[in-house]
Amino acid sequence: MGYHILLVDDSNVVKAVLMKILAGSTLAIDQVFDAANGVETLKILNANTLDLVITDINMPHMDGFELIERMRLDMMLKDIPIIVISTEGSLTRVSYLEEMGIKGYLRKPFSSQDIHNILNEVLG
Amino acid sequence: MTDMEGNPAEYLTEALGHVLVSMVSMSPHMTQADDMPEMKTDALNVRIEYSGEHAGELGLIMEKNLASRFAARILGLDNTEDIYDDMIEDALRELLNVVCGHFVTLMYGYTPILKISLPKVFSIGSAACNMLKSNPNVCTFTVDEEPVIGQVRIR
Repeated sequence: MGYHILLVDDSNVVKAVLMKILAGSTLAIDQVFDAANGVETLKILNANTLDLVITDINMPHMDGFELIERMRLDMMLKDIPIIVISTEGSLTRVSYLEEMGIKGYLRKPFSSQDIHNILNEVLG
Repeated sequence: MTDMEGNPAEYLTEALGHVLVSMVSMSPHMTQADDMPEMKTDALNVRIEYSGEHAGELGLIMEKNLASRFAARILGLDNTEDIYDDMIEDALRELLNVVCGHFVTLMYGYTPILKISLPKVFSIGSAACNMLKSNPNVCTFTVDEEPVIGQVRIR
């Protein structure tokens, strides 16, 4: 049984790049879902069993901070590992994300090796 | 790094250089406005704002041909034939979003908490671009010998 991963970013280009990188992963990945914002993410999370959420921060409708806060308050979602991939450079905000229990943080721009490394750290 | 140290245009150049090399393996070259090639076709103007402890606005203007090459490179495609307008605009928004993230860190350091807006893309005529390049508040570049205009406005 492979991993089910959800990619969350309002950029289809970024999601396409991440999909391509995940397709080249040595990890057993069964299915990759995608969402454009926090609202879509919560709908997908409530209808599927996910092993990992990889999310951006700066998104319309519901940003990554609110998404993570909502996931942490939900008994069914609070233990799903989260990796944040964002342009966020504020150490205060990154510390806040870490306090909320994210498993990894990667600053954009990223390389495919960065993604493979952080996936292996979190899932491997 | 102290707040407001240095020249915003230099920080934009540095952030743009870092991001372009990382995302599309291309380097911007800062040029004098008179040395920048004229824009021959209508261009895309992508803009983003940041606010909070500091506020400002960044913009990049380039012709669609160069923007489509950026999109193709980000997606790992060999040519631009399979690149559609929505992909070009998406790639430009993402590019400026990442540039802005690095710009504010260079400009203000790692401490301030800033809200970065969602980038927006507009069309701008070539004549307007060619007039704009002489404005003292813009910086001019070439990327792959194509013209790029950068704008920084600190509020």
